[in-house]
Amino acid sequence: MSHPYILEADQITMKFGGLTAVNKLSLKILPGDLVGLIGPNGAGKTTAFNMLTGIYHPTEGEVRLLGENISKLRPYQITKRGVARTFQNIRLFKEMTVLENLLVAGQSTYQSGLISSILKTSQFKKNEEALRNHCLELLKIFKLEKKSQFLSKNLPYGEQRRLEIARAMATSPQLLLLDEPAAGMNPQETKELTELIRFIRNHFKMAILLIEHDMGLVMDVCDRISVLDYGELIAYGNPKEIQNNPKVIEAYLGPKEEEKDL
Amino acid sequence: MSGFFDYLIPLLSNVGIFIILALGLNLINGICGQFSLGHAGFWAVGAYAAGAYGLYFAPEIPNFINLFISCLVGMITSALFGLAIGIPCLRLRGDYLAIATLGFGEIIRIVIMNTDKLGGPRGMTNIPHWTNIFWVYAWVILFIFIIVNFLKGPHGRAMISVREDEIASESMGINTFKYKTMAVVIGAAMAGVAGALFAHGQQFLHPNNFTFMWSVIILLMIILGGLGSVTGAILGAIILTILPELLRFMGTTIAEWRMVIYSLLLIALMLWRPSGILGKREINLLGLFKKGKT
Repeated sequence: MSHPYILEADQITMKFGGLTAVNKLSLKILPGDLVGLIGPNGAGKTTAFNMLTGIYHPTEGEVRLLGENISKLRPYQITKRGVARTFQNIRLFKEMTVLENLLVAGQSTYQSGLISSILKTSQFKKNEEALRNHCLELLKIFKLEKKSQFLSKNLPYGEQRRLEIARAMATSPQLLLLDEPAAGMNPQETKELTELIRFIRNHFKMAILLIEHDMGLVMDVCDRISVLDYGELIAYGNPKEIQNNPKVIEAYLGPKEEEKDL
Repeated sequence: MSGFFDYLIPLLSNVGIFIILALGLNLINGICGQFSLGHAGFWAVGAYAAGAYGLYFAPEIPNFINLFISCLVGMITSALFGLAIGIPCLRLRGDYLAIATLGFGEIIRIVIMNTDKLGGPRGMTNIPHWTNIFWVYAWVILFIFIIVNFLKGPHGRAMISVREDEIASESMGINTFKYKTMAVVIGAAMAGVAGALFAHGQQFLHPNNFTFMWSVIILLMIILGGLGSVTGAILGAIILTILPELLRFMGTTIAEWRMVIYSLLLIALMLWRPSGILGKREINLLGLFKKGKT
């Protein structure tokens, strides 16, 4: 591998008019890395995600995927190059079945032509069969195979979250971006999610970038953590270092009492 | 008795033409979720292109071959218009897209109105009579076959995912812009064929046959049947083409109240079945819509 990093964000900045949502953020993700991105509300975490996945194009700086500059590409092109994501507010294809949700995500790897899909050629059938098997296997891994014919809107909340991760995995990514996967989950579900994330990483040998507010989860699974505040990277290190970093404590809890008095 | 058939066969032909129009608009509006109000425009483009072919270019060959060529002319012209309109307009969403397509439909009508070669406000007359009920339904069946298979394949799934959530769809590796354009082009191509069949059936075209009102009526058909359902679109087209004729039999006063009855029908529909008669379901005749095995 000529490029040591799967994903490299180099001084990316996002400005909305006069507001700088993210300022000169740099991130480096190694293959197999599990990196957390944390910060108080409004710190710019999701904006950073949107820049990495092409929904926004950074005003300055560059995002590189295995050395290739992807900051001008559209989201679907970035996904095809191996970056998949989930959303903070669940965005499933509600009126489609659980299986169809995965089929849509997986089909760019098994694409058949328009004419052959109308005429149902044998090549098309073979492609569809392979795609279907690939998706059913994923459903089994995510323990959703019994619900494959349910409309995705009819799943309980925790399973919808799981389906979103499964759908992202169906695009066969090298890097998975999870945007607050534990939001709205109860402690039991969060615990299962922690296991799931660890399992994905070991089973698929992939890198994961995680935004999360649940500190228990982040400290538990992440190798390294980046902390954002007001659009700037204020700390970077392993969970231990982050927990004891005075800047991080200040960002979350405010400055110390005596400093305030001065 | 023969008088009855003289009345019934053109009516059934019309039903077929509206089925094609409704299927096309259903692909754009119901399946891909792009709100278009310009379908009569595509219909007009196809009709006039086919009419012009019949009047000025048709060689002396058997009628059914000429009709086939004419349908292709209508289809291709309309598809090209679909492409030309789709690429700029599909950057818009929701209401803005609806307004842009509405404007397109009106522009087409007014351009035709002012083009002397196409008859202008006098209308295009003496178009050869080539359409018969057999060919209308041959096209209907062909299009149903294409749409059903299309929907079962990856491209159909991608289009539905665009309707469900465009951002998620794009993030799952779907080129949403390509699929939106594809929906408009295919929908326009189908409207073009409907236009050609219409032109060679009526033998007379007038710009006022293609007003905004017709776009709305086609939209009503698919909403009535159930937005996104193929059989729903067919059902809607049948109901809204036959209904005015039935009302006609009930005497002139009721026929005059046609639009009021339409609106009452719609209000009733919105109250009791807000997602249309069939919703997103399909009537499963012949097992056409059977889901694949799992």
